[in-house]
Amino acid sequence: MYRVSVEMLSWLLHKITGFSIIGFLIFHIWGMAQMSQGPDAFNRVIETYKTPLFRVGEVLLLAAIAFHGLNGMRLILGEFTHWAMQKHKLLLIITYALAFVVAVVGGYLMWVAE
Amino acid sequence: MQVTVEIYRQDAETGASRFDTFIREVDPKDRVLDVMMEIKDQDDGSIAFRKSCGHGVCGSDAMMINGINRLACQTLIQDLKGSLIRIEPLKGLKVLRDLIVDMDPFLASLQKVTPYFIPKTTAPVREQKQSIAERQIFDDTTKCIMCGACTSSCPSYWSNGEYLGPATFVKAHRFIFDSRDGGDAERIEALDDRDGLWRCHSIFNCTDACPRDIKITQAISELKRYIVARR
Ligand code: FES
Repeated sequence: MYRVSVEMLSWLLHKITGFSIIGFLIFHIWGMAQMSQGPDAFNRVIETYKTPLFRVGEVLLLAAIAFHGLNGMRLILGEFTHWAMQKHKLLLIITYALAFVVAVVGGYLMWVAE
Repeated sequence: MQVTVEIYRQDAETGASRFDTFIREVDPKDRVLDVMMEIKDQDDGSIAFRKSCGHGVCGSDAMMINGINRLACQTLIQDLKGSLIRIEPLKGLKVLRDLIVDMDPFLASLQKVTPYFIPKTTAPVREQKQSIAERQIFDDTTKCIMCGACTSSCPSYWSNGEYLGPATFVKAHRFIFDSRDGGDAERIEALDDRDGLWRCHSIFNCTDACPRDIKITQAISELKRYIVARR
């Protein structure tokens, strides 16, 4: 097994979150199609989304999007600027810190919101 | 200090693999290569691995030591933190026997970027001068010893053996950014390809693995920018 560095972990997480987000999009479109069947169907779907399983899922989704987006910005910066390549360790820390803050604060707000 | 050395073994004919374990008394300042040579001398002469210069110049003895590619001749026991030393062949290249891998695909990939100097004029009539600043641009990538530690540490290379790989980019960088060189066109054709530069996802494994401390990922991003700017 090759040692997994933070950079390699980020690459793996980037892939995993990327595929998860695509999975969510497909699921989301399917959910919307269900909702459009009429008021009853709409209410049924919303009830399902209120179950703890889905609420945890929503917070995880936020975390995945926050990481994927910020990590993507880090990679783009690295492709375009010499500075970002030299400071890539610092940028990694910033990426994880920001993603963590967004996931925790946003997740909390989503959780307490009714 | 006492160390446990686990060495990957693979039969050349059957392909059957296993780990052989040796326990040895070593000096923390010994190099991994010293310990391997001692094991080969005293315990098991059949262990196969490459080495030549013994001083980090020839690039023969790149191998995976405790999960990272390094040169056995440059790695001290004390650098490894701990008393377990696990030695495996480079990943992504076919193992021929024990720690010896087939380097042919790696070298073939280097060939694709014409890894030699192509003068701008056919017959230079006088010396071609280069300023210190001009030289500085590609100084880092001249240090490559083609050991293969970077390419075989790259997940993009593991998943696709056709990918040119970091070592090839280092070579390309060394010549493309040389102010006297005139061979850009053919090199860029190889680099700007579906198996070229764009498969690099800035994973930095190559930079971590390089025994010459070349900033490989940085060099690759410089090449990417150079090619995009030319379009
Ligand atoms: S033996 Fe030559 S580089 Fe290690």
